[in-house]
Amino acid sequence: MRLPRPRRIPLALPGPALADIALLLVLFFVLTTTYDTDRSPVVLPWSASASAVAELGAACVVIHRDVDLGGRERVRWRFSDGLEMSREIAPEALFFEASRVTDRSPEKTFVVKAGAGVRWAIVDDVLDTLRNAGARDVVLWTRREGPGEGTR
Amino acid sequence: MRLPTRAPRGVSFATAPFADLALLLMVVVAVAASFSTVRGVGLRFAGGAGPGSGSAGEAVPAIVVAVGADGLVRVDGVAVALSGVGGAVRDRLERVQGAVVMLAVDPSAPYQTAIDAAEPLLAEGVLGGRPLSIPTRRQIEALRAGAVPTFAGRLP
Repeated sequence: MRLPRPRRIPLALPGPALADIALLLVLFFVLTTTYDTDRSPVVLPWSASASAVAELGAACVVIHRDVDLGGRERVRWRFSDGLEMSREIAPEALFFEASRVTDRSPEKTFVVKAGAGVRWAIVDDVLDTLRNAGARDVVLWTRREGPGEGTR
Repeated sequence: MRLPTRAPRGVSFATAPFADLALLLMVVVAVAASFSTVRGVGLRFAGGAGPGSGSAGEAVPAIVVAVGADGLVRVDGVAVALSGVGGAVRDRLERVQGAVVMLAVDPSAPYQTAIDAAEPLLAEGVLGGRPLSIPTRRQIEALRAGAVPTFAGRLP
Protein backbone atom coordinates (compact mmCIF):
# COMPACT_ATOMS: atom_id res chain seq x y z
CA MET A 1 0.00 0.00 0.00
CA ARG A 2 1.28 3.36 -0.86
CA LEU A 3 0.36 6.16 1.46
CA PRO A 4 -0.28 9.59 0.01
CA ARG A 5 2.57 12.02 0.43
CA PRO A 6 1.73 14.60 3.07
CA ARG A 7 1.04 18.07 1.73
CA ARG A 8 3.57 20.72 2.63
CA ILE A 9 2.12 23.32 4.88
CA PRO A 10 3.15 26.78 3.75
CA LEU A 11 5.17 28.82 6.19
CA ALA A 12 2.98 31.62 7.67
CA LEU A 13 3.07 33.70 10.78
CA PRO A 14 -0.40 33.85 12.39
CA GLY A 15 -0.67 37.56 13.17
CA PRO A 16 -4.03 37.67 15.00
CA ALA A 17 -3.06 34.76 17.23
CA LEU A 18 0.19 36.49 18.14
CA ALA A 19 -1.72 39.66 18.94
CA ASP A 20 -4.01 37.71 21.25
CA ILE A 21 -1.07 36.11 23.02
CA ALA A 22 0.65 39.48 23.36
CA LEU A 23 -2.51 40.98 24.85
CA LEU A 24 -2.72 38.16 27.37
CA LEU A 25 0.94 38.69 28.25
CA VAL A 26 0.37 42.42 28.71
CA LEU A 27 -2.57 41.77 31.02
CA PHE A 28 -0.52 39.23 32.97
CA PHE A 29 2.40 41.61 33.46
CA VAL A 30 0.16 44.54 34.34
CA LEU A 31 -1.51 42.45 37.02
CA THR A 32 1.68 40.99 38.43
CA THR A 33 4.09 43.92 38.14
CA THR A 34 4.22 46.34 41.04
CA TYR A 35 5.70 49.79 41.06
CA ASP A 36 5.68 49.91 44.85
CA THR A 37 8.78 48.80 46.64
CA ASP A 38 6.73 48.18 49.74
CA ARG A 39 3.47 46.31 49.91
CA SER A 40 2.89 46.21 53.64
CA PRO A 41 -0.68 47.24 54.47
CA VAL A 42 -0.71 50.59 56.24
CA VAL A 43 -3.79 52.74 56.86
CA LEU A 44 -2.38 56.04 55.67
CA PRO A 45 -3.60 59.37 57.03
CA TRP A 46 -6.29 61.02 55.01
CA SER A 47 -5.66 64.24 53.13
CA ALA A 48 -7.93 66.03 50.66
CA SER A 49 -5.28 67.91 48.71
CA ALA A 50 -2.14 65.68 48.78
CA SER A 51 -0.37 68.23 46.64
CA ALA A 52 3.15 66.78 46.66
CA VAL A 53 4.03 63.94 44.32
CA ALA A 54 7.05 61.70 44.85
CA GLU A 55 8.83 60.52 41.75
CA LEU A 56 9.03 56.87 40.87
CA GLY A 57 11.89 55.18 42.69
CA ALA A 58 11.79 57.34 45.81
CA ALA A 59 13.24 55.81 48.96
CA CYS A 60 10.58 54.74 51.42
CA VAL A 61 10.42 54.55 55.20
CA VAL A 62 7.50 52.50 56.47
CA ILE A 63 6.26 52.84 60.03
CA HIS A 64 3.80 50.16 60.96
CA ARG A 65 1.96 50.22 64.27
CA ASP A 66 0.21 47.26 65.88
CA VAL A 67 -1.65 47.16 69.13
CA ASP A 68 -1.97 43.76 70.76
CA LEU A 69 -4.92 42.57 72.84
CA GLY A 70 -3.25 43.87 75.99
CA GLY A 71 -3.16 47.37 74.50
CA ARG A 72 0.60 47.32 74.07
CA GLU A 73 1.87 49.23 71.09
CA ARG A 74 4.40 47.64 68.75
CA VAL A 75 6.03 49.73 66.05
CA ARG A 76 7.94 48.17 63.16
CA TRP A 77 10.19 49.97 60.67
CA ARG A 78 10.81 48.99 57.09
CA PHE A 79 13.07 50.67 54.57
CA SER A 80 13.50 50.61 50.82
CA ASP A 81 16.10 52.55 48.87
CA GLY A 82 13.66 52.82 45.97
CA LEU A 83 15.39 50.12 43.96
CA GLU A 84 14.87 47.03 46.06
CA MET A 85 11.84 45.81 47.94
CA SER A 86 11.51 47.06 51.49
CA ARG A 87 12.90 45.08 54.40
CA GLU A 88 12.45 45.30 58.13
CA ILE A 89 15.09 47.34 59.92
CA ALA A 90 15.81 48.40 63.48
CA PRO A 91 15.04 52.08 64.19
CA GLU A 92 18.74 52.73 64.83
CA ALA A 93 19.58 51.46 61.34
CA LEU A 94 17.52 54.13 59.60
CA PHE A 95 20.28 56.74 59.72
CA PHE A 96 22.77 54.38 58.11
CA GLU A 97 20.34 53.27 55.40
CA ALA A 98 19.22 56.83 54.61
CA SER A 99 22.83 58.05 54.56
CA ARG A 100 23.72 55.42 52.00
CA VAL A 101 20.90 56.65 49.78
CA THR A 102 21.74 60.36 50.13
CA ASP A 103 25.41 59.60 49.54
CA ARG A 104 24.55 57.90 46.26
CA SER A 105 21.90 60.39 45.12
CA PRO A 106 21.63 63.54 47.26
CA GLU A 107 18.43 64.71 45.55
CA LYS A 108 16.54 61.50 46.23
CA THR A 109 13.07 62.00 47.67
CA PHE A 110 12.11 60.04 50.78
CA VAL A 111 8.55 58.89 51.27
CA VAL A 112 7.29 58.35 54.81
CA LYS A 113 4.58 55.71 54.80
CA ALA A 114 3.17 55.75 58.30
CA GLY A 115 -0.15 54.66 59.72
CA ALA A 116 -2.64 57.39 60.64
CA GLY A 117 -2.64 56.23 64.28
CA VAL A 118 1.13 56.42 64.76
CA ARG A 119 2.17 58.98 67.37
CA TRP A 120 3.76 62.12 65.91
CA ALA A 121 6.82 61.55 68.11
CA ILE A 122 7.71 58.50 66.00
CA VAL A 123 7.27 60.36 62.70
CA ASP A 124 9.20 63.25 64.22
CA ASP A 125 12.13 60.95 65.03
CA VAL A 126 12.10 59.64 61.47
CA LEU A 127 12.09 63.17 60.04
CA ASP A 128 14.94 64.16 62.34
CA THR A 129 16.96 61.09 61.31
CA LEU A 130 16.32 61.74 57.61
CA ARG A 131 17.35 65.38 57.98
CA ASN A 132 20.55 64.37 59.78
CA ALA A 133 21.24 61.80 57.07
CA GLY A 134 21.18 64.55 54.47
CA ALA A 135 17.71 64.10 53.00
CA ARG A 136 16.23 67.21 51.43
CA ASP A 137 12.80 66.31 50.13
CA VAL A 138 10.33 64.26 52.09
CA VAL A 139 6.77 63.37 51.18
CA LEU A 140 4.44 62.28 53.94
CA TRP A 141 2.35 59.76 52.05
CA THR A 142 -1.39 60.28 52.46
CA ARG A 143 -4.46 58.85 50.82
CA ARG A 144 -7.19 60.80 49.13
CA GLU A 145 -10.12 58.54 49.92
CA GLY A 146 -12.43 59.48 52.75
CA PRO A 147 -11.59 58.62 56.37
CA GLY A 148 -12.04 54.93 57.06
CA GLU A 149 -11.38 53.84 53.47
CA GLY A 150 -8.32 52.62 51.67
CA THR A 151 -5.23 50.80 52.82
CA ARG A 152 -1.90 50.91 51.00
CA MET B 1 -8.25 16.72 -15.42
CA ARG B 2 -5.51 18.92 -14.22
CA LEU B 3 -6.23 21.10 -11.22
CA PRO B 4 -4.66 24.55 -11.13
CA THR B 5 -1.63 24.72 -8.92
CA ARG B 6 -2.22 26.70 -5.80
CA ALA B 7 -0.20 29.86 -5.57
CA PRO B 8 2.19 29.67 -2.60
CA ARG B 9 1.04 31.77 0.33
CA GLY B 10 3.46 34.51 1.28
CA VAL B 11 4.48 35.11 4.83
CA SER B 12 2.17 37.87 6.02
CA PHE B 13 2.43 39.81 9.21
CA ALA B 14 -0.76 41.53 10.31
CA THR B 15 0.16 44.90 11.77
CA ALA B 16 -3.33 46.23 12.53
CA PRO B 17 -3.85 44.11 15.68
CA PHE B 18 -0.49 45.25 16.97
CA ALA B 19 -1.54 48.86 16.63
CA ASP B 20 -4.65 48.11 18.66
CA LEU B 21 -2.50 46.31 21.15
CA ALA B 22 -0.13 49.25 21.50
CA LEU B 23 -3.06 51.54 22.21
CA LEU B 24 -4.44 49.16 24.82
CA LEU B 25 -1.01 48.84 26.38
CA MET B 26 -0.68 52.60 26.66
CA VAL B 27 -4.11 52.94 28.29
CA VAL B 28 -3.43 50.14 30.77
CA VAL B 29 0.01 51.45 31.73
CA ALA B 30 -1.31 55.00 32.07
CA VAL B 31 -4.11 53.86 34.37
CA ALA B 32 -1.76 51.64 36.40
CA ALA B 33 0.77 54.48 36.74
CA SER B 34 -1.85 56.91 38.03
CA PHE B 35 -2.83 54.39 40.73
CA SER B 36 0.76 53.84 41.83
CA THR B 37 1.65 57.53 42.21
CA VAL B 38 2.69 58.51 45.71
CA ARG B 39 0.94 61.69 46.79
CA GLY B 40 1.05 63.46 50.09
CA VAL B 41 2.32 66.40 52.09
CA GLY B 42 5.69 67.58 50.84
CA LEU B 43 8.45 68.86 53.12
CA ARG B 44 11.79 70.33 52.16
CA PHE B 45 14.50 70.43 54.77
CA ALA B 46 16.32 73.72 54.83
CA GLY B 47 20.08 73.60 54.58
CA GLY B 48 20.50 76.44 57.07
CA ALA B 49 20.66 76.57 60.84
CA GLY B 50 17.07 75.49 61.29
CA PRO B 51 13.52 76.77 61.27
CA GLY B 52 12.94 80.41 61.97
CA SER B 53 16.54 81.33 61.43
CA GLY B 54 17.77 83.93 59.01
CA SER B 55 21.18 85.17 58.04
CA ALA B 56 23.62 86.08 60.79
CA GLY B 57 22.12 88.45 63.33
CA GLU B 58 18.89 88.90 61.44
CA ALA B 59 15.74 88.21 63.46
CA VAL B 60 13.11 86.29 61.55
CA PRO B 61 9.55 86.58 62.81
CA ALA B 62 7.66 83.32 62.97
CA ILE B 63 4.01 82.43 63.10
CA VAL B 64 3.67 79.30 65.20
CA VAL B 65 0.81 76.92 64.56
CA ALA B 66 0.81 74.58 67.56
CA VAL B 67 -1.13 71.33 67.47
CA GLY B 68 -2.01 69.74 70.80
CA ALA B 69 -2.40 66.06 71.56
CA ASP B 70 -6.16 66.57 71.63
CA GLY B 71 -6.11 68.10 68.14
CA LEU B 72 -6.59 71.64 69.39
CA VAL B 73 -4.83 74.12 67.12
CA ARG B 74 -3.42 77.42 68.34
CA VAL B 75 -2.08 80.09 66.02
CA ASP B 76 0.41 82.18 67.99
CA GLY B 77 -1.25 81.04 71.22
CA VAL B 78 -4.82 81.73 70.12
CA ALA B 79 -7.11 78.69 69.79
CA VAL B 80 -8.48 78.39 66.28
CA ALA B 81 -10.85 75.87 64.72
CA LEU B 82 -9.22 73.66 62.10
CA SER B 83 -11.33 75.23 59.37
CA GLY B 84 -10.12 78.69 60.38
CA VAL B 85 -6.38 77.96 60.53
CA GLY B 86 -5.69 78.95 56.92
CA GLY B 87 -7.50 82.28 57.30
CA ALA B 88 -5.84 83.07 60.64
CA VAL B 89 -2.36 82.42 59.24
CA ARG B 90 -3.09 84.40 56.08
CA ASP B 91 -4.22 87.38 58.18
CA ARG B 92 -1.06 87.26 60.29
CA LEU B 93 1.17 86.92 57.26
CA GLU B 94 -0.34 90.10 55.85
CA ARG B 95 0.52 91.93 59.08
CA VAL B 96 3.96 90.40 59.71
CA GLN B 97 6.12 90.84 56.64
CA GLY B 98 8.69 88.12 55.89
CA ALA B 99 7.44 85.77 58.61
CA VAL B 100 7.98 82.03 58.43
CA VAL B 101 5.19 79.64 59.36
CA MET B 102 6.08 76.84 61.76
CA LEU B 103 3.92 73.85 62.53
CA ALA B 104 4.78 72.52 65.99
CA VAL B 105 3.01 69.25 66.73
CA ASP B 106 2.70 67.70 70.18
CA PRO B 107 4.72 64.45 70.22
CA SER B 108 1.79 62.46 71.58
CA ALA B 109 -0.62 63.70 68.91
CA PRO B 110 -1.64 61.15 66.28
CA TYR B 111 -0.05 61.48 62.86
CA GLN B 112 -3.49 62.14 61.32
CA THR B 113 -3.86 65.23 63.52
CA ALA B 114 -0.58 66.65 62.20
CA ILE B 115 -1.68 66.07 58.60
CA ASP B 116 -5.07 67.67 59.34
CA ALA B 117 -3.32 70.78 60.66
CA ALA B 118 -0.78 70.94 57.82
CA GLU B 119 -3.37 70.67 55.10
CA PRO B 120 -5.08 74.08 55.45
CA LEU B 121 -1.63 75.69 55.58
CA LEU B 122 -0.58 74.03 52.35
CA ALA B 123 -3.77 75.08 50.58
CA GLU B 124 -3.23 77.44 47.68
CA GLY B 125 -2.85 81.08 48.59
CA VAL B 126 -2.28 80.64 52.34
CA LEU B 127 1.51 80.73 52.59
CA GLY B 128 1.97 82.73 49.40
CA GLY B 129 4.90 80.63 48.20
CA ARG B 130 6.64 80.52 51.58
CA PRO B 131 7.74 77.08 52.76
CA LEU B 132 6.01 75.47 55.73
CA SER B 133 8.48 74.66 58.46
CA ILE B 134 7.78 71.59 60.60
CA PRO B 135 10.48 71.65 63.25
CA THR B 136 11.36 68.38 64.92
CA ARG B 137 11.50 68.07 68.71
CA ARG B 138 15.27 68.54 68.70
CA GLN B 139 14.94 71.71 66.69
CA ILE B 140 12.25 73.02 69.04
CA GLU B 141 14.50 72.25 72.01
CA ALA B 142 17.35 74.09 70.28
CA LEU B 143 15.08 77.07 69.71
CA ARG B 144 14.00 77.05 73.36
CA ALA B 145 17.60 76.79 74.51
CA GLY B 146 18.53 79.75 72.37
CA ALA B 147 20.81 77.76 70.07
CA VAL B 148 19.02 79.47 67.20
CA PRO B 149 18.91 83.02 68.58
CA THR B 150 17.31 84.60 65.55
CA PHE B 151 13.94 82.99 66.18
CA ALA B 152 11.26 85.48 67.18
CA GLY B 153 8.16 83.38 67.56
CA ARG B 154 6.29 81.86 70.48
CA LEU B 155 6.59 78.14 70.97
CA PRO B 156 3.91 76.08 72.72
